[in-house]
Amino acid sequence: MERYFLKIVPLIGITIFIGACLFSCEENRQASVISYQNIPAPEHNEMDPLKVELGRKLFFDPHLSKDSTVSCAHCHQPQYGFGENVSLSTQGVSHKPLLRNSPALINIAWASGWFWDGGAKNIESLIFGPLTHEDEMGTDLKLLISNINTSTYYKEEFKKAFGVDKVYSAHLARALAQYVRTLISNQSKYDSYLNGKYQFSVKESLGYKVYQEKCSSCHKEPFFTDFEYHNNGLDTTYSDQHEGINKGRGRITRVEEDILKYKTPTLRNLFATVPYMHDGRFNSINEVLDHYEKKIQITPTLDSALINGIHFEMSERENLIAFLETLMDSSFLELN
Amino acid sequence: MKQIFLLLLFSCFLIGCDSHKETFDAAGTGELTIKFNLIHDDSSLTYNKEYINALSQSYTISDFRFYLSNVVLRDTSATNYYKIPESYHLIEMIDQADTSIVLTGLPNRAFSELEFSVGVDNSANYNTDQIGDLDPANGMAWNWDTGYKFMLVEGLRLIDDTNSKGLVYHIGGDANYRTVKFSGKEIFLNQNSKQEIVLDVHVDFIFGDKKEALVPEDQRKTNFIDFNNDTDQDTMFGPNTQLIADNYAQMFEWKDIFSK
Repeated sequence: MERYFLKIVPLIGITIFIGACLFSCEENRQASVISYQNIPAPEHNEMDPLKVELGRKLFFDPHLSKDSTVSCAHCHQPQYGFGENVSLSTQGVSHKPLLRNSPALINIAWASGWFWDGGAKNIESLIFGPLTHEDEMGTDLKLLISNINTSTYYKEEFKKAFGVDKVYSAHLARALAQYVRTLISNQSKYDSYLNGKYQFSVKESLGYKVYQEKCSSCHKEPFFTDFEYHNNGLDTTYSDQHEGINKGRGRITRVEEDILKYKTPTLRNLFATVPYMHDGRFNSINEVLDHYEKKIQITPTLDSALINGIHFEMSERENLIAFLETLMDSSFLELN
Repeated sequence: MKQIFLLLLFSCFLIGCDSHKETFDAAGTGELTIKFNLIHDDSSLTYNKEYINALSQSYTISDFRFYLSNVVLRDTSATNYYKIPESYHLIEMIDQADTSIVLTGLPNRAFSELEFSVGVDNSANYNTDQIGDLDPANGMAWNWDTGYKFMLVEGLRLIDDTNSKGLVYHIGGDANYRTVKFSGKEIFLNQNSKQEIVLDVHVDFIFGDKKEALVPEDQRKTNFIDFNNDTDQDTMFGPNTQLIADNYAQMFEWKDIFSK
């Protein structure tokens, strides 16, 4: 009996110890998931500080565009969460309004599809979209690559980063992809709260509960998006025009079930990323909440959580907004 | 116990044998040129020339390109094969209606079958940051929906004497990947290490082979494509485009092989 007891005590002890470890690891895990070390990158383009730095230079360089006037950063401005403060940008080389809102670039390394409809299967492939679109940067890839190969400055930079004597469009895409993967927002009050370094005020705390109850099914922690596609009841019609752009996710998967669905945007840095929705139709968070409360359009693909709308008491709105303020990350918004 | 073990070992051996096909991966000095003659109505494809499809609709072609990929050579037993590595070839008409690809470093063996595909297999189709013929600078990548245009046909649809409309077919998507085989051939890279295969590419078959006009529809090898069906779904990757893909799988004709 005594021997049995001697065995069981350490066993229980170890179990408790491991359990406690796992528990605390679990708690830290959520906060630390969003970190440079954890950036998911494809095997053929693993993270490398030299490539990131080259990508940063390219991101802010207007010479990448057709007429050397527009850089990536024109529509993806740091102070707006690497998005833009207008519904539909006219900053492209043609100055024609685009058909969708410039998405914020916040923790996008962890997404599983890019663009509002997930049409880009990886960030490297995405890069060619804005770069070559006639209403965005409008560049001729062949010409751009030949210019890069005759630029002593960039030739040197690409040689340093990739060890190549001849630059191809793939290298350009890989450097830019690496840079945008480093656009990490993880320094908000909410993150401090997760690390045990910040205590929510009463309002924030109540708002957190409202968020968990009414928003978190799509805007999941810790990214505040599930990176999935949902129809949140904005529209009832769509067409084949512009490669079916207003079919949302449905134009990519080409199945009825995905019509009018768009990727859930993150709530991180929410107040810097106004206006809202894939076409920037809402100019304030209150307009968004009004939409969820009483303007949901019922269509076959509407998300089931939204059929009856989401109702917010006046005080719930206030508290929710107080909580959403804790997702602001000033160090991220000052990046460049 | 020992018996069971032996049985297990034996069955492993059997399963192994069944799936095993010898690959000739040793590099050799074999060189194979494949020449493509781009043909329309049995003569050289001519850009901007007025043509008629199988449904008597008039059109011109001003740009024609496609990806030919994954060239495989098989020997007479049809089980041993050599797969050309990184085999993606952009076939396009630039100055003249014929174009060639040259495959080098092939095993010095006798082959009897040539296989290739039209399009880009899904392992390469989901990433466009690629070098070589798949470089998106070649204008064959989609940017809003990652992937390659397997075949690009652009020109004008001539509606009447005064009216015309853009003719734009950008066919892609996994469902439109097609594999073509020519068997019973003599490709002797052992004796004549340099060989050239000549293939006719009947570009007009993409919209249907006019010679089949009198053949009942269900017995035709090609599908007759109506230019009036011109939504994105009909010209990029919708169900109708699979009819076009079935057509381009039929457009190759083996003409000749000779030693260089």
